[in-house]
Amino acid sequence: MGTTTASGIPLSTFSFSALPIGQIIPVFFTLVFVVWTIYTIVAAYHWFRYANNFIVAATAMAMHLFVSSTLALYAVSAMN
Amino acid sequence: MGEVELEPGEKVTKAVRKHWFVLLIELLPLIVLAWLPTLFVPFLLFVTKAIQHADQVAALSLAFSPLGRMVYGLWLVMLWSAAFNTLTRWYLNEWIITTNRIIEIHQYGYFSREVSSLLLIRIQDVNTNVDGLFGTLLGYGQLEVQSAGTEEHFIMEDAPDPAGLRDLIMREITALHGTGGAVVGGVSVTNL
Repeated sequence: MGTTTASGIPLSTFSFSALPIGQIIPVFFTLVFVVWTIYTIVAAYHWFRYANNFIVAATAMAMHLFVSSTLALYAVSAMN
Repeated sequence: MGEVELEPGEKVTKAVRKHWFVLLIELLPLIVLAWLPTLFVPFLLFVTKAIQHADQVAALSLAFSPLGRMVYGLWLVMLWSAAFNTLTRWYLNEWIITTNRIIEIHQYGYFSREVSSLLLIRIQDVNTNVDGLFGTLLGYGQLEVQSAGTEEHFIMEDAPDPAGLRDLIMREITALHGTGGAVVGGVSVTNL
């Protein structure tokens, strides 16, 4: 008797490829992107409105966009 | 100065934020959380070794699969957003010391901001409190400014060089008394 998952599928034969990944991923990425976009707009508003220094605010937002897009590209690059 | 309008003749002497080390301490849990998933592969190896018949190759292929990379990438995006949020709050929380007053700005979160002013001529007492190993070594601590007559007081936690700030405030108060009071809205206000 081999070890099985809670649903009774043998662990050795359990495959993640059985999940409808192709349908889940685009929806999930869209949701993440929408949340990230709202967050970025709110953060940009606060930096440019309250930082009292345009150069500091612009640098901070540029850094945020650069780091976020680099990490997002890393995540998306796996989907080739 | 944007949301805080200075009175005619009023000048900003210093703008102060919490010590950079405090920001670093707040970012530390996020750095640990970013590093944590790298322990996932050794953990999987350990678990698959412990469970008989479990397929190590299948387990490892999950960790190195495109899905695993994608999840880790999104995890990092989320952590970066949290780190940027911490940086934003740190930067937007500040004390502005002018020749007339102290302006305390509290950014509690997005869309939650409080700005208060305390006239220097109303200040009765300025206290500093440096506590703990890091505070002593790096020179940051609490600065408390107590106003006269009322129970109003400003407290800045983790202020860099609190003794220097206390001296600066006291110098500004002395200078103000020397000139006969503060200029508020073009009208001279004396300490009665």
